[in-house]
Order: sequence, then C-alpha cells, then structure tokens
Amino acid sequence: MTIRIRFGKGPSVRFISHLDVMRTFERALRRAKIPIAFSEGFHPRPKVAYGPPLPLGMTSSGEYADYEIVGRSSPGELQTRLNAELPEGLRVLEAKEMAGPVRSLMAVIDTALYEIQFDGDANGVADAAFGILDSPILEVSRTRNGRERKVNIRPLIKKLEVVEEADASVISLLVVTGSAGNVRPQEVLTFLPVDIERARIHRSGLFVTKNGELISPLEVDSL
Amino acid sequence: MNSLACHLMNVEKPARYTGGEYNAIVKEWQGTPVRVALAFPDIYEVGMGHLGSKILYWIINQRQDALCERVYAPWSDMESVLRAEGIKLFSLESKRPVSSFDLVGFSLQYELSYTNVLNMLNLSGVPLRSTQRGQGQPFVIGGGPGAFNPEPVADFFDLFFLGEAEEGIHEILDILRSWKESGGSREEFLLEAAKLPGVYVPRYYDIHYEGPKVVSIEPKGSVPPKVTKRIVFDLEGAEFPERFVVPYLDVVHDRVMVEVFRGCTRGCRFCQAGMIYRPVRERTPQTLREQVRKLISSTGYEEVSLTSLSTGDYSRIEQLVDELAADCSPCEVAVSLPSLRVDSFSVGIANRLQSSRRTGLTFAPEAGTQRLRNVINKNVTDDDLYAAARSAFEAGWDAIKLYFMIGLPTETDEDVRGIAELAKRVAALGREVRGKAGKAGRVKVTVSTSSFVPKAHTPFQWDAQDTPLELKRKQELLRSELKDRAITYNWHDTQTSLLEAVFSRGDRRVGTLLERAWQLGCRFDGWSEHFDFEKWQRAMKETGVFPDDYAHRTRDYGEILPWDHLQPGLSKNFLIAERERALRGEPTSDCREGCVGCGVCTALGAEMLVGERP
Repeated sequence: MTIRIRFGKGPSVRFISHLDVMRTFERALRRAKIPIAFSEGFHPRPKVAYGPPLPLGMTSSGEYADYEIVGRSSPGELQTRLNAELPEGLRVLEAKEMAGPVRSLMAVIDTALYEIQFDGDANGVADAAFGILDSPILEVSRTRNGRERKVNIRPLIKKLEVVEEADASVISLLVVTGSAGNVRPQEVLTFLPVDIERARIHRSGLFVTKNGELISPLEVDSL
Repeated sequence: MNSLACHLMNVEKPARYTGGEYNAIVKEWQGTPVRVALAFPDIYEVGMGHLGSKILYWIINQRQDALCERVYAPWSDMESVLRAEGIKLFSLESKRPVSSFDLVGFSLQYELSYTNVLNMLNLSGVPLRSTQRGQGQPFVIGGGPGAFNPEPVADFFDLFFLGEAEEGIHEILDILRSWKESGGSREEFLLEAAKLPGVYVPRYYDIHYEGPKVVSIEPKGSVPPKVTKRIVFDLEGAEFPERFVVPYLDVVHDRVMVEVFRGCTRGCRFCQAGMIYRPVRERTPQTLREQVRKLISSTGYEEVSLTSLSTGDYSRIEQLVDELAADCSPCEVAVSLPSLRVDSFSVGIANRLQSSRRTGLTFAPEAGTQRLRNVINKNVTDDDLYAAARSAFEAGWDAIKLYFMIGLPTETDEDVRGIAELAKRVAALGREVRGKAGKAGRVKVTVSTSSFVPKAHTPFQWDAQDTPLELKRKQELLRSELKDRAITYNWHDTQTSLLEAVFSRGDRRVGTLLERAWQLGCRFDGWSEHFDFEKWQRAMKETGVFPDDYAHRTRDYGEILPWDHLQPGLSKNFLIAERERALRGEPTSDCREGCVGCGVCTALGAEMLVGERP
C-alpha cells in the first residue's frame, strides 16, 4: 500500500539539505519498524519518493513524501510511530492511504506557496508588489554550468500580496514550480525593499492544479 | 545564534554547526555541576566518525552530575564568519561558548590536526598556553594516540590522559566536581589530577636540552616520575554506548560500529597502534550481538562495522559474522569489515558479507619484498598475497587495492621495485582468473603508498625518516615501474609526511613552530586544499625549529627520548631487541602463539583475553 504524508520542517532543521532529510526519514522509518517495500535486484532500494526539494534555510509546513509499505498498516499508525522517531523539527502533519498507484509527487506538483516574514516598511513593500504585478517582464540572471542567462520570472508568479500581522509583515507568494519552471522566492525579493538575508521564508504549501483549482497532493486521485 | 543564522546561509554545509541530531543529548545547563566539551580538531564529518568520542560522550552523559557536548573544527568559511562577527566557538548541543565549560577534551588522532587544536582554542577565546589560563577558564585535556608523545603540544594543554579512558574519566570528573565545589585554585586541581594513574600534567615535568637532544626529564614535587597508561582490563565490563548520535550529514563511518577487540598481537614494527594498545582483549560474540541489536534499533542504521586493528584475527570471527548475518538480514542491515588480513580465509569471510561486494577488496602487504617484510615484521608472504588475490578474483571481485609504505628502514630500490612486481603479478592473476568469465578487461589494481613516519614507542622510534627528496625519488621510481593499464598508483604528499615525523617525535620546543605556523594561517594541514608548506617553512626559519633534528636524525639507544616518561607498558629492552631483530631481518611471532616479552602485561598487571571464557 502507498501512504502519502505531508510533513513540516521547523527552524531547528532548516539548514538540513533535502538529501539529508531523506536519509533522516529512512532511518526514522527503520527505528519505527515501519516495513518499507524494497526494490528487486542486486542493490535493493527502499520504495520511497519525495516531492520537490525545499531550498536550504527555509522552514515548511507543506512537504510531501510517498512510502510503499509491505502488508497492511494505517496512515494514523504510521504518523504516530514515525513522529515518535523523528528528530525535533521534522514532523508528519498528515498521512493518507492512496487508492491504487499514483503519479509521482515530482510529476504532479506544479505550484508552491511561500510566506515570507520580513522586518521593515510594509506599505513600501506592498507598493512595490503592485508594481511587480503590473510589469510584464521581471528579469533575473541565473548561472548554470558557469554560464549566465536571463530569465523572465513574471509569468511564473501567480499571486503576490502583503499581509500585515500583529507582530510582523508577511509576503504571501504563489509561484509555479516543477517542469513548467521554477522561481526562488529570493529572486522575487530582489524586486522588493526587503533585507533578503534577514527574511524568514516558509513554504506553506505545494499544490496540484486540477481543472483550474489548486488541490492538495493528498487529494489527488489515483492514475 | 540569531546573528549567526543569517550567516549560515553563506557557509558550506551549515548543518555542521547546528546540532539537533537524533540521539544528541542536551542536558539542563544550570542544574549540572560538571560540564565537558569534547572537541575534535577536524571538521564535523570526520570527527563524527570517531568511535572513542562516541564512547566518552555516552559515558559522561550517563552521569547525573555531568554533561558532555560536542564541538568540531569550523571550516575556513565558518571561521571567517565567527571572527568577523565576534562569535566565540560554541558547542553543538546548547550552543554555549566552549570557554564556559569546565573541561575541554581534545582527541589527538593525527599530528596534522594540531594546528586546528590551537585554532579552536583561539576561536574559543581560551588562552593558548596552559600557564596563561586563569580562574574561570576551562582545563584543556588531551587524549588518544597523540597523548603518548604529547610534547609538541604540551604547553597548550593542562593535562593529558594516557590510554583507555572508560574508567579514568570518572576519576577525573569526580575530582573536578569536588575541586569546583571547594573553590580551589587551578594549581590545586592539577596537582590532584596528577596523582591519578594515567594522568600527565606536563607543567610538572622540567625538560632540559643539549642541542637537538633531551638530556633530562625532571618531575617536580610529588608527581610520579613516569606516567603509565590506563586500560580496561576486561572489555566485557566496559561501558559502551547504547545510542549513537545519528548525523544529518553524510559523515565518515556513518554506521553502527562495535569494537570486537582492543590491541593487536601481530607486532608490526612500524605500527604505533599495535604497540601502544596492548594487550589484546576480545569481547565475546554474545556481547557484540547485543550491542549491535541495541544500536541498530536506537539509530536506524543500515550497516554495522566490526572494528578493531585487525578484525580478521578475532578468534571467533566466523561465528560472529554468521550470527550477525542471521540477526541482520531480515531487516536489510549489512555487516562490513574495515580491514582484511592478507589470506584467503579473510577473503572467504568478506565473500559472505554482502556489503563488501560494493567496493574492491583492500590488502596491506606494506612492503614489496620478503626481506623488507621480515624487517618490519609483517608476516605475510608473496604466496599469501597471491592466494588471497586469487580467492578474491575467483569469488568475482574485479578490483583490488594494495597498501604499501615507502621509506621503511633498510629499504633499497630493489624493495621499491618489488612493490611493482607484486602489483603486476596480482594484475596478471586477475586477468587470468577473470578472463575465464570474459572479464579480464575489468581487472583493476590500485597501489597506494604512504611514507614511513617513525613513531614514538615503536621499535623504529630511533630511526630516521627519508628526506622528502628521497621519498619523491622512490615514488617516481615506482611510478615508472607501474606501467600497466590495469594499475593505478596513488602516493602521499612527502611534505606532510615530514611534518608528521616532526610532530610524532618532537619535544616541547616544537610547540613554538606549531604556534608560529598557526599564526601564519596554517589550518587543516591534512587537507591538500589547505596545506601550505611555504608557511611552514617560513615558521621554521622564524622559530629556528628545523625538521632535520627531529625527522632525519637517527637517535642512539642511550639517548633520552622526549616521551621516555610516558609509558604504554612496553619495556625499552623489548623495543631495542625488536629493532635489532629488524636489522637482522628476523621476524617475531604473533604473541597469541607465545609471549614475546614486550612487558606490557607485567607492567599493567593485565592479561591477554582471547577466545572462550572459562
């Protein structure tokens, strides 16, 4: 059976890379004695799969993983047992049995939501955000294999707004992710009067677009 | 930490500095009277693989009245951040400055980490020299093999512990606690500590020199004239961790490790570990299985390694491997051996372990001719090697690694060419055997040579090291002889080997060279991207401490050696006899086959513990 989980990454583990998070989960699954299925062959690998990597330094409450379990278990049991074995900062927030085979998280997830806390003038940032949404082209430069190229990220920004909360101001940013393109939140912040080094970036959700609606990866149907 | 957080984004692998790993032990600071920082003078990924540190971390934290936290050498990018921001080096658990601990323990595993010790002290705001430290500052203690000749770093440490610390650490913490409660002076603690067996407080020993030689070592006051190492007489009763900290990062030896025995009976004459960790004491298979079971379940590791100086020599190796394989296979846990003896028996064991399939097999004949192997007492014949290689190729391995040393005492060019001969014959054997399966083209033989470094407390402690120029010439000679498509040759940098020789047999005066080199920016000397010999040369010129006196001078038996007051229990007569036998090319038997008279058991009141218990 396949169990899909949503998990969170707190401030204490935000400097742990995606690869390290994957290894940490594998060891927690072993400690929790959750029987993960293994691939056949000379080098059996556990049948686990993760969603798009969370960049280093960010916290999250919307990461996803699929586990193929041998025999029967319940999502609730997996969540409880895994949480008992995870280090502080990593938490399974939801677990759901997927009916039948599912398309991989990497293939279906196409949208990411970030919440960015910043210190400073919220009105100024809000004004700049309107400016961004009005402009047809937002060019950033990216370096790949030592070559610099310009990318227009404006079409990848779906929503950008500033919300003032009691203790801090928060930028809410919805962007395209996956095979259709990617935006790093820091790239958007370069157009705003925000101290990027001090901004606290949190990924609050990853989504699948279905019939124009954003739905949780836990809600997608089987193939 | 807050001001640090935004800088962590700009350093490589910030998880080196953030702690919070599974099984890390964070105790309440205020309510715990004795606080120890365990410092490893290399980066996190290296230090986290060190078993001795895991044992001490566990033992200290088991005490109600003590806490133990970890700290590793920050990489250069992090060092810049710490210095620029004025942040003191901090522990991983509570993120408190190292200077706020009562005791800071450094593991001295290799000479090339010594500049990192100074750098870590400096980054902690702890004065470098023992005599500069005052009330409220930590005591700095050193342990590990480096403590058997700690003279080059003696001025920077308050005390050293010689040997196995499982029991001694409790004694040190007990007196540290009472001393702290009594509010005594630093001197009072050190005098009390110096009475403990195995503890060496260098400031109470005056060293006198004439030219390059030590002419006297004078203990001051009531301290013992000689400090003898401590051991755990029976490992069955020794404390061993039930949990290991499980790192996030990919570290070296990232697996369960159990120690099947301590000591080694082979008596290779160049090997310091084989001399200073005597006698051999085995753990029973029952105990080892229980330790593995607990650690697998508490860590979630997928691999267990059976460690020791020569695991193939464990008296019940087959039983242990079979039992562990049966225990581990249902949960996909692999068993691995770190080192193999050069014989087909060992290949047979490795063949049963699925984990060793992944990589090539490694053998260490150490020298290229029988003559030289007799000199160093490496009791392996050409035929042993060919038989082992044949078994390995027949079992389906394509790749074999061969380790040798160059620059060994009495070595000639013929011995160097002998290495090439052996390697070529192994490659030919591989092509013959693997050819039958149509895989001759896949055969790969990797030859690695390290350069001989004479070590304290070995039969070669009097011998000179080859000069870097001579070592280079021999490497070049070997390279020219190893023209074979299937053979790859790796060699060690000769300048780092020279520094190792200076520090392994240096006296206290070498400390000024170390300090100057550190001031000039030397760090991570074991890392080729950091090693800067020009800085070391400048430091030598400025301090007048030259390597010739330490590395290239043959000492005579009558000379007082800088480590003569530090005793692993070996009698000097035994070491002299062994060196004489070496020069005559006479091997000495394994001490399992009969006592060879090294003196350790008598000196320590210990005995070899091998095989079934009564």
